[in-house]
Amino acid sequence: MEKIWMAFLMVLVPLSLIADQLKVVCTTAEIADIVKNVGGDRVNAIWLMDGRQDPHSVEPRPSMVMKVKNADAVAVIGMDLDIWMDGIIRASKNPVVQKGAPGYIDLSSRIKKLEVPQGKVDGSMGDVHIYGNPHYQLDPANGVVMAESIKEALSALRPNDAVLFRANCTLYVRNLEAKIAGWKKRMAALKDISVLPTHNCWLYFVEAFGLKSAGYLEQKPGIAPSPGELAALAEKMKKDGTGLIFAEPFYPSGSVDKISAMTGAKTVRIPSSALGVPEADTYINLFEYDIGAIEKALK
Amino acid sequence: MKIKYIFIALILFVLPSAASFAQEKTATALPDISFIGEAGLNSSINAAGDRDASFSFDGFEINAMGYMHPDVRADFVAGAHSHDGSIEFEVEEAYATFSNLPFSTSIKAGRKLMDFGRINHIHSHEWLFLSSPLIYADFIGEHSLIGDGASIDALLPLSFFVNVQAGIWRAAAHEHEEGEEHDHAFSPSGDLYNLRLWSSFETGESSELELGLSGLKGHGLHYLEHTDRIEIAGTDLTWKLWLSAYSRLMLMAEAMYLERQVPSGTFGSWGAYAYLGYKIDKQWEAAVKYDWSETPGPERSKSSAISIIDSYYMTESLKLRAEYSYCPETETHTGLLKVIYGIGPHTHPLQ
Repeated sequence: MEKIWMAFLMVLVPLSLIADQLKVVCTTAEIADIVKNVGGDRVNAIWLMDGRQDPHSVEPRPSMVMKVKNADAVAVIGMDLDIWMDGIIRASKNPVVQKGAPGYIDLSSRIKKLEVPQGKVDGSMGDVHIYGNPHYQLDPANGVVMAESIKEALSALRPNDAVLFRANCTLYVRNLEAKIAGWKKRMAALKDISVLPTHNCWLYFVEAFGLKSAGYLEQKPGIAPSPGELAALAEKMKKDGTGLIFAEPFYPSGSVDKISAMTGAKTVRIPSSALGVPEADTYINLFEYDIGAIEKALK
Repeated sequence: MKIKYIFIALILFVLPSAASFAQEKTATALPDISFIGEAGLNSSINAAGDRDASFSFDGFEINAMGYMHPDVRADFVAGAHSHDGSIEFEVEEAYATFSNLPFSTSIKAGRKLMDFGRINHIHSHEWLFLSSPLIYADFIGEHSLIGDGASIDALLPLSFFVNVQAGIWRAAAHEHEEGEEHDHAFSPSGDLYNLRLWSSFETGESSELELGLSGLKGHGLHYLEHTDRIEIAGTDLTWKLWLSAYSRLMLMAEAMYLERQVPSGTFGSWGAYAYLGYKIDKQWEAAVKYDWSETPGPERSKSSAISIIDSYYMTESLKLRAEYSYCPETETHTGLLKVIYGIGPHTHPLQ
């Protein structure tokens, strides 16, 4: 009889933990990874898009509405990058995750933003985000800020677990900071190498690791370069000695291949978001993979 | 005429104010305002050799959206559309949405595109094709069905997506001038009751199936002069398969049955269309559409069309679309080439 009770308890205890977990729907896989690290077993985090998709072009789906409908919180990149989430949140009719509610976690709120436009913005400048460049997750130091924001939001939602969230966050940040130190050391060897990222999503990465950039393949964000722009860029790259092109796995190969052929620069396909390739399955592994791929390309 | 003045006031006062506030980076309480325009070339040739080719400015829309309360949003869409060579101004939509009501419900009240069928609630510039499907042209009318009234919609507490929407509306009737003959154009009018059920199922990590049921009960266009009662039932299916970051296969099909009661009897009409589209990459999309429909009422006639559609998305707010259609009944070839452009904030609604 005792064995039956023990078996019953062994099933019941994990079930009660699952039932009590905070359900957090994250727009990207790297946010979900950080939420899992900070929330531990008190949180069930899922994501709606991963690095195989272009965050600017995600098509909202009804199944996403159901995930948000049953959520205790949503965590977004913000700055209009995941603007497609707004319609999903509205359609979910879930009051606890609407903008302004405690369950709406905008991770951009404490980020030091780059490329914040001044004055009038319109389509003549390309696809400019009015709140600034929203790809801040590509500076790993911003991962620390994201973890802190997540800790505070989860603690506000579940004050009883705040101590656990703080401890998990401290551990994660310590680990991430150690990794950052290692990555910076590895990337310091590449400081004199000039690179050409496809899109300005790599700005935070280039700045974080002090790389030299020959500009971007897209002269205006989101707009494919014209033949004239490609020719001028090729001249500049040759002058600067640019030897490496950063392109996301999903980025169309047409203009990337052309500029590579015109300059002899190597192309390295690296994801800008977790799970863009299977090896980049966490926020930390995203940088491990990208830096490893850059090093390999330069060997 | 009043609407014309509203337009002029908007253009003269609100928009410059918005622009100057934006330039000064001042916090504002202005709504999000955007413009959408449409223009292009139309050409056709029929069996008799009659040719027609023209450049057309199809009109533009001004959209304004803003919140009046954390749970109450206002949407305003005013349009200027080309109609028989002249530009007509109209308020297409002006409604308030009351969200976060009990039992996952929300209420919309005012004037709006009625939630009927797969595409009536979607503005035509956001459709995947240029020409209206024949069942919409025959059963709904030349333009999308707009009503003044209210609707309630609820997300049902199920493990999969089921949204139910029910509405009560009034749409303008056709008033006959003395001596005017009845035309054959048809559109639901007067007091209308609609119901739509929209469900969706994940059929894989990268695919989703949507099923819809629609119903509409009310009157036909001539109900002020004589008996003209209608009931429409419709069903639709949409299957999307995302193949990569930009490529997507999409199958959409919709069928409707309309029963119309007029003094000379009760008539039933069927219609359907099927669309198969392939988004090749970030910018190109190719599709085919097949349409078949019977016009409602005593003078029933059948028509069909096969269309080939090619779209080029230059940016999120600028697209070019070409459409070729062939109607075998009239042996008419039609070619359309349109540019659809927008300025101002864009959204990604679930639709």
